Order: sequence, then structure tokens, then C-alpha cells
Amino acid sequence: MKYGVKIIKNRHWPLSSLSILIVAALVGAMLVALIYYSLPALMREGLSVYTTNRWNPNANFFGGFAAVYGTFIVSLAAITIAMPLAVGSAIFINEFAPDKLRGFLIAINDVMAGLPTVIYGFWGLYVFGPMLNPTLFTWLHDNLGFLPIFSTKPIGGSYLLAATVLAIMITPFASSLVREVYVGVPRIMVEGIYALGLTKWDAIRIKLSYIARSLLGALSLALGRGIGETVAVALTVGGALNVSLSLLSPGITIPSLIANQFGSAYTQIEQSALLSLALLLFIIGLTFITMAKLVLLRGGAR
Amino acid sequence: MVSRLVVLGIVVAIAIVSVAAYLLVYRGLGTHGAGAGLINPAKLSVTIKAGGSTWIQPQMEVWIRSFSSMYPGISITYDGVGSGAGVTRLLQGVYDIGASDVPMPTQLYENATKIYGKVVTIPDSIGAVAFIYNIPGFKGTLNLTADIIAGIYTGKIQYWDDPNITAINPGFHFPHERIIAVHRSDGSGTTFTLTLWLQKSSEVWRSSGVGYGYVVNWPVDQLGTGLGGKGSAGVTAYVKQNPWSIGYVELNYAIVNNLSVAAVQNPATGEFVIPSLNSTLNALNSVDLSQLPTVLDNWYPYAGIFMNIKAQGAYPIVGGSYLHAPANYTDCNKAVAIYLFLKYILTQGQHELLTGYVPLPSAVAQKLVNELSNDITCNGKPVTSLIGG
Amino acid sequence: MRAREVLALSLTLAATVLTFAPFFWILGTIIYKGVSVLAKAGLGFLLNIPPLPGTNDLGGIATVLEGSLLIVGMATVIAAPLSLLSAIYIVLHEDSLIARLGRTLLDLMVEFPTIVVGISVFLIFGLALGLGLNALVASIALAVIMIPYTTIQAVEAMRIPKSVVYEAAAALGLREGHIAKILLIEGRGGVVTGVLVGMAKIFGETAPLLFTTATSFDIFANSPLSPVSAVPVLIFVYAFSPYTNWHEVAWGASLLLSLIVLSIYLAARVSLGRGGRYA
Repeated sequence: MKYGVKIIKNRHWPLSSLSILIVAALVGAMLVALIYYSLPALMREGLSVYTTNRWNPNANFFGGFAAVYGTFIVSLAAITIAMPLAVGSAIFINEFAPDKLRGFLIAINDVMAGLPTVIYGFWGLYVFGPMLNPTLFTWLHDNLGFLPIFSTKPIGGSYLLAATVLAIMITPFASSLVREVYVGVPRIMVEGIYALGLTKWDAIRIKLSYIARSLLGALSLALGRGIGETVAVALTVGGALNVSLSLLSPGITIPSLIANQFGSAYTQIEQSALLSLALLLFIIGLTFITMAKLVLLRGGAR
Repeated sequence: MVSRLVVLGIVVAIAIVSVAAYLLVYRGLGTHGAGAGLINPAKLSVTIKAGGSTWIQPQMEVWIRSFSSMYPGISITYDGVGSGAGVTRLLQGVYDIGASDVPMPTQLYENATKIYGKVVTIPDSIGAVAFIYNIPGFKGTLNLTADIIAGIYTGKIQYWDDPNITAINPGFHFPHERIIAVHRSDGSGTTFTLTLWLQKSSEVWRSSGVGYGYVVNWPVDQLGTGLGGKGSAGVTAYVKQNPWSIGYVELNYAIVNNLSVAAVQNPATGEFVIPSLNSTLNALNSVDLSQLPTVLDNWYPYAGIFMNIKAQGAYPIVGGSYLHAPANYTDCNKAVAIYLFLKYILTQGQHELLTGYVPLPSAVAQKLVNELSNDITCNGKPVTSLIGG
Repeated sequence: MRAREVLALSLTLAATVLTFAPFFWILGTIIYKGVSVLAKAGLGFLLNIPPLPGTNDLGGIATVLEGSLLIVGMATVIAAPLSLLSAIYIVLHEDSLIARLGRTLLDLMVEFPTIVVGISVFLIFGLALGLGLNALVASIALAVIMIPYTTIQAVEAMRIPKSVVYEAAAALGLREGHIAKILLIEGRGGVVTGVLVGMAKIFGETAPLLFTTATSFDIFANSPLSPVSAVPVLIFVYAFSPYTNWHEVAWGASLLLSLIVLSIYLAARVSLGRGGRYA
């Protein structure tokens, strides 16, 4: 077999390597365009585009810290909600669900991930938000309001609402990642567990600890997906240029800011500031991917 | 033997290139100038790309359909990408007509004249900014002044029982509730009109340094009681969902959705005026014609000419939406098409307005049409001299 | 011990319910609001152009439906060959540097905010290369979004027949074209799934189209270089307008869009076979 491998590697692969080159060139071109158009703002304001919370077109100063902060908060909150749900549902599907139900749930799982995001956004703004705000969110504020994360009164859009909608969107993806890794636990180990007379509960615990590292990788991947979500978050996060410790406060994220304001930006600096924020997203995404790869590689999965 | 895949690839490539070439040539043919002969509008075949303001978009759809039934060969597309993008893309040559809710800023106007020589600007319709509110138990109409609005959105007035508010709204006992101030999350001409008006009319606003624009830095956001809604629909949704909130929307939106609106004090007369078609017309009809610029001028300094008009029953927060296009052309078919479209909008189009879109005073419209007929030129000749047949 | 199992069951069941309930809720809302619209408009919803605002007309979404089909089709024509060929390379050279970098590149592409893709493609192809705003530029943006999904799925699908191919290649001295054909045929289930999944994903994309397509909904796109619009954009614009009849069209279009996306997924699931997994 090794002989065959050597032969293939020595052949020429013009078309397929050309394909990869084209794809890489597309991505490279996009990156170059982003950098090129970000330069004016970066040169003018330096890193304060990312670190200052002062977005003032009138003064021609664009400090997008509120958006950077909001992006992190919403994504982190979303993954905090999504991960337990993803792990829980993955375990249920693999361990407890009868065959027919399993097939059904797996099918639904993937369809959910494909539903257009504009629909999630509307549902979040017009149906889900008005339901959650006066009930769960108000309860959190009234009863746990001494905690900084629940210290403001919910007024409609908030980090938490956006995070919840985002969690609903990324849980299916995260769940399928967990499922794949879960199924990958070696049969020998599983048989060994039951041979020792351990219960299902113990089996689950052991499997989880076995794949723990891969879970981390899955988490990074799902988080990366969540960071880039635009429409659904823009409609539910509250659109306020604010930095707040409270999850119930309105805020803004980078993709939402870009979607909201790119159409009305008529100065080069404003467009450039928005694109430099997009560049930051690119870099963050790259970081998460690399981290996920390193973690997963060590965990042995994929 | 050459791989079949490679052959297939070459065939496909040739096919694509031929189709592309055909289309480019075909498109190119349609746009070359007609030369010395007169142009018959009924026989014109031109594509016009327009885009910009989202506010004017529904109205644009009506206009485009009506115009296309008059001149089937002239095909017009309109992208509601936003006022800023509309003007930027006009300058980039992507659009033939750029629509924005405020005339293009002076800096851009100067860039435009560098690129195109001369640029024509016309208002196409007029709108107003209305305030909606959600005050449980309140009956009747809320009264507001520029300073109160400025105070609310800068965070200086934080509670409904603020003496400034109660002074002009006697007869209702306002509780000590925080005001939730809803603004726009997306860049918006409505925001621009409102903030420009506040800059003109309120010392509180001026001294806050917030300024005016499609997007501003709302101080109330930092207090945690500011919310940004997407579009007037988003603002309305947030106001409806939150007792003790206030927000601003376009007048036409308020009319079509039957929203209760506040009466705003006109600084020029002291009257509290409810926004409506009539109160906006009262303002428009009293505008001094001689104060208006010509189509070739920079309209940005005149962005507030419809505001705070000193007339009976005139609503103060009034602004227009504008169309910009190059004035001089070498492609005479396009020049004629654009002229016809703009002329249609200023004349017949003003009678085909959707509810809440306010027409230009006919004297103003007529003045603009006259100027356009001389100022839109092709190869040096006024476009009207080229129409015939 | 029994109690612990019951606990595990109930916790995971709760997680499952919370994960899947929103989907049914959303679907329920769309069906509830969209069915009455589709019933009122009838077949005309597929054939007519959108109505004028503020009237009682429902018209139809023929123009944007055609637009969506056009740009999804063109995006597939661009993305499918690139995806499949890249997948072949990655599968056959799995341990090489290029393949590993390629894999990382694909994962990176999946994470792009789609709005940034739209803006960058407009900047590069629309402005810098001067193509303007048309179906072609919109398709390129969609293709960039589609490529990673299709490629990753195709890689998974072709991994399994790979070992067979190695043996065959060694024995017969095959060339690239033949090997590619074999892999594609053997992995055709997963490959077709990949293409379908990619198409379903881009069918529902809104953000990249906001800055690359027209929002004129009256015209039919008649060439790759003509302005075009798409169903998700119509939904976005109409739902935020003041007009009730436009809101209804938005709901009807949402239902139709969901049905289209769901059917493509169904087809993809059939193609993948029972129990298979999307990459």
C-alpha cells in the first residue's frame, strides 16, 4: 500500500491543486482587501479603534470597543448556554434514544442549522423576546439582580437575548460535533466498562472524561461560528453603543454594527473603521480555529 | 491521450467567455450615444441603476412601475442600501442616481464635482419625524419641546416626572419612572433630520456636543436606558414592548400604522403641532422660494430649510429626501432617460405618492423641472433639445 | 444506581427538549403566519411580481424566486468544481502540508461573518475589478460561503473509498482524471450531499446579499450581468416596512423559503443514507 501512495504523490495534480490555489487566492484576496481598506482608520487611530468606547461619526472618531466587547460577551454567553445543551442532547441521542427517534432527531438537527438566519432574527425580535423579557429575564433581574450580570432591567434587546437566540442556532452544530466525538470512544473501552459491571451513568461519565479535550475543541469551533452571526444578533442585541457588565443590558456586536452602519457610512474613515473591526473578527476567527486544531489534534479525534 | 476532463474544461471555458463577450457587447450596444439624430423617448432602451435611501424605497417602487409603463424600454433598478452607500456608489460610478435622505455632505459634493464636473440635486419627496410613546394610563397627546427631547436623549432628563415634562403636560400624574429612549440602530436619514433639527433648535443639544448625522453617539446609551431599533419597525416594536418608553419614527410609518404621536413645539411660533400631512404641508407651503438653491448647487447647507418654518400649524421637524445625478453626459440616451425620470418624479410622480409621503409645493417642483431641462446636458447641448421623433 | 440512571435520562432529555423545541416553535410560527398568505395568494404567489406597497394585493415573489435560483445556481457552478477538486486533493494527500493548510483554510472560511464576505467580494470584484453590482458578483459571494461546506462534506465522503483507490492506482498506474472520477463515483452519496447542503445554506443567506444585490423586486434578472435580488433580501426589506400587505408577503416568502431549504436537506439526507453525518 505504501508503494501506491508513493506513486500517487509523484504524479502531477494540476486541476485539483489549482482548485485549492484558487480557493486560497480568493481568501487571500479578501484578506488583502480587508487590510487595505482598514489601513486608513488604523493609521489614523491606531489600536484605539478597538480599545476605545467612543463611536462618534460627528467628531470623525471611531472607537469600536463597545462592539468588540459585545461580540465577546454574546458569543461567550451563547456557548455557555449551548454547550451543556449540546452535550446533553448528544448523550441522549446516543445512549437513550430508541433507533427511530435517534434518526428523526439527527435529521431535525441538521435542518435546524440550515434554517435561514433572517427567520431566527424576526422570531427573536417579535416572538421570543417579548415572551422572555417579562418572564425569565425580569425574574433574573428581580431575584438575582445583586449579581452584576443581572443588574439592569430588561428593556427589550440585550446581550442575553441575542446570546439565547444565537445558542439556539449553534446548539445543533455543537451537538453534532459532540455526537461524532462521543461515538468515537473505542469499543474496547465501552465493552470494558460494562464488563466491569458499571452502570450507564458511570459509562457516560467515563466517556465524557475521555473526550473532554475534544469537547473543548468542539466548543472553540462552535464559538467561532457564533462570533460571525450577523442578522439574528443584530435584531435582538438592542443596538446600543454601550459597554455593560449586565447581560440584560442592550449592546452591540461587530457584525451587527457593520450591518447597521455600512450602508450609511459615507466618509472613508467611517467605512475603514468598520472594516478594521471586520479584520479583527477575521483574526479572532483564525485564532479560535488554530486553538481548536491544536486541542483536537492532541485529543486524537478527527 | 489528453485527459477528457481537460478537454471538457476548455470547452466550458470557451463557452463562458463567449457568453460573457456576447453580453458585454450586447449591453454595450444599448448604451452608445445616438449621435446627431433626435431621440424618441418611446423607443429608448436604457438601463438606469439607482440606489440609496431606504425611506424612499417603497415610493421608488411605485414610481418605477408607473414610469416603466410609460416608457417600457427604460429599465430602472433601485437598491435600498442606505443613504451613505447611495452617494458613495454614485461617486464610484456604480449608480447613475444616488438617493439620500439628506443632501450629500459638502465634502462629497466637492468630490462629485471633481469627478463629474457638475451634479444635479433635487428633493423627490418630503417627510417628517414623529415621536411615539408608551405611557401607561396616559390619554391625549404628549407635548414635547426640542430641549426636552434633547434632554431625554442626552440623559439629562431621566424620569417622566421631570418638571420640564410635567410643566407642559398638566392633567396627567407622571410617576417617577425611568424614561427608556429608543433610537435607530441603523444609520438613518430620520436620525439625521432629527439630530440636525435638535442642533438648530436646542441649546441643550448643542452644548452636549453630540452633533448630527446618520449615526450619532447617543449619550443615553451609556446610561443603559437607550435602545436601538432596526428601522422604524424596530423602534416601534421596542416602544410597544416597553412601558415608559419613547421613540422616533418616520411620519409615513406612524400614519400607516395608526400610531399615537406627540405634539412638538415649533420654536419659530411657539405652537405645539401634531405631525400630519397637513401640518407638514403648512410648513412647506410657507417656504420662501427665493431661498432655495438651484439644481446645480450644493444642497447640504440647505438641509434644514423646511424646519422651524414660521407659519400657522407648521410642524417643525421636516426634511426631504434627495436624488443626485451627474449633470453632463456623453451618452445621450442615458441623459434623456435620466432627465425624463427626474421630470416624471417632480411632476406626475408627485400625484402618485404613498400615504405619508408629502408632495413638493408645485411652484418648487416647477422651478426644478425648468432648471433640469437646461442643466442636464449631453455633449454640451441641453437634453431637451435632443428629444423628438 | 437506578436513580442515577433516571437522573441521567431526565437531564439529557431536558437538554434535548430545550435544543429541539425552539425549532418546532419557529416552524410553527412560520407555518401559522405563512399558510394563510399562501392560501390567499394561491399559485400566483409563485408567478406574480411583488405588490405595490399599501395595497391589498399580495402579488407574488416570482422575481426574487428567479433571482435566488439564478444566483444559487451560478454559485453552485462556481463552487462545486472548486470544492470537489479541492476535496480530492485533500483526501489523496491527507498528510501533506498543502492538504493540512487547505483543511485549516476551509475551517477558517466556515467562520467568516457572511456580511464581511459580501462586502469584501463587492470591494474586490464589484469595485476593483469593475464588475459592478449584479448576479455574478452576488454569486461569487455565495460561492465563497458555499465552498467550505461542500468541500468538507466531500472530503468525508471520499475518505472511505480512498484505500481502494490507492491499491488500484498502484496496480494500474492511473492518472489524475481517472482517480478523481473513481473517488467521485464511489463517494457520490456524500458528494451530492455536500453540494446540496451547500446550496441549502446559501439559499437562506441574507447578509452577503445586502450589499451585493439590488433591492428592486420588480425585475427579472435576465443575464449574469443584470441586477438581481433574492428571497431572503425581500423578506428582510418587506418585514421592516410599514405596510401590512408587504408583511404578509414576507411571511409567505419565509414559509416558502423554509420549505425549499427543508426539501433540499431532505434530498441531502436521502443521498447520505441512513445514519450518516454531515461534516
